[in-house]
Amino acid sequence: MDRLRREQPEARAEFFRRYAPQVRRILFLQGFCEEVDDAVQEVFIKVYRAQIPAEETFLAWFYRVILNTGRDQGRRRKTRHGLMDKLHQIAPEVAADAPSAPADPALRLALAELSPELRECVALRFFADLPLDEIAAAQDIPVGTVKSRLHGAMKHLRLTLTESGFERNG
Amino acid sequence: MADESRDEMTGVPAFDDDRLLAFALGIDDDPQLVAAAAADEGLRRRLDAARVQVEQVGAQVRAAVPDPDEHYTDLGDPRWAGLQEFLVPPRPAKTRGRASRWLRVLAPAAVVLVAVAVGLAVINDRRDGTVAINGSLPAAAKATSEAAGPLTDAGSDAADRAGDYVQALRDDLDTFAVVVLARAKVAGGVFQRFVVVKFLKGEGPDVVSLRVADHPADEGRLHLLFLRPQYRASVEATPTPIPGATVATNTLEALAAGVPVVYSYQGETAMARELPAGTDPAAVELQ
Repeated sequence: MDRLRREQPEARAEFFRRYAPQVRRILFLQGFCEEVDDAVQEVFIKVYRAQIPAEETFLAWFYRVILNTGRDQGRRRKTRHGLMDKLHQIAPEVAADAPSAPADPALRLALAELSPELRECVALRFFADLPLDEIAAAQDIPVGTVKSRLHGAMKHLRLTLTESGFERNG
Repeated sequence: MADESRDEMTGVPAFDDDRLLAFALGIDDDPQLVAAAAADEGLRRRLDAARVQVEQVGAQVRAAVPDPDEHYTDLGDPRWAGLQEFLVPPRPAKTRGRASRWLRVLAPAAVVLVAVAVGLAVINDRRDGTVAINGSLPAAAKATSEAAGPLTDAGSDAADRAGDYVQALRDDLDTFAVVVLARAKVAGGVFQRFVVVKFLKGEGPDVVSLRVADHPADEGRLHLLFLRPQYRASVEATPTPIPGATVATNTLEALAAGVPVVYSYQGETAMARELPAGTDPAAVELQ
């Protein structure tokens, strides 16, 4: 952490190698879209440019950077898709830049039905393995809200997957 | 499945699925549930099933996100071009005073930390303490040299700039464990090979394959390659000249004047500095 704070290139490279796959997964699930490499890069540029906070608050800060970047990207994508939709109406042959679907259609449906806040919670829980208090710090919400969101998300995922026959196949 | 833990009034199980899910998720410690499950095999089975379900859902969520490709964390990959500027060793903060101090060490004492002689490209003209440079060097370097004027004039801005160039190359030589003179081959895909002509510092393979980050080097051109960055806890406050080294200050300026190109070599940052056309490899030495 100290080396990262002193802007040492090798520390930055190590940090990237360690966290880039995880950042990608979180952003993927958050935005429900495979086109996340630009956002991943944006996250690390923000970290490299930022004043690195104290070690005890670093992870919460880092995950907040990820989530905020994902939210910004989501807004941009929404605008872009809005424009693409309009273009599509004018010229149907133009292929819209639609998000890619995960392999499991039942899960795609279940995840798509979650609110962005609930998806963020699931992403931080299952891709970052964060404890509840750190998810709360990253999302800047009370721990009780995290519990409620996580419980709601899991209940919905479980129900949807069960109804789609996931248990029989799984 | 019998469940002995039921509400006496309503007959509804006191431990419903939501409560079991909360416990399985680690949201709630629920000592009451733990105690009841210890005494109730049916409840214990339900609790185990809830845990398995949570794990299965988690596994499905993880599986929904495809794994990144195997080169995903290769910082030399073109998709991370935006990060390159943050991955080059930072230049130590230089002040006019420091550059002047460095030049005061260099010029009057006629010693230099690293001397690189590039064939006949550099002609040292010791008259009046000035250094001449011939036309085969890059125009920018030549202009720099001319603008720099006599190196003994440590107070001029031009001399400070010249000192900065010297310092830049000195930093590179200090920062990297391996420095080689190599000739660029034609770039193939995202990689470009360089055939090592001479090892100037450290040891390495005879052919170095670098991942192109920005643009490939010109085929056939000689380059100084800086490989294997070695990071130190802190940068020395004052450079320490190597006694006995010869003077070729303007060559250093010429070499440092070119913009270094950043590559990735085996996951680490590498740098290439193009040498002037017509450089004689035999004459390039670090002394």
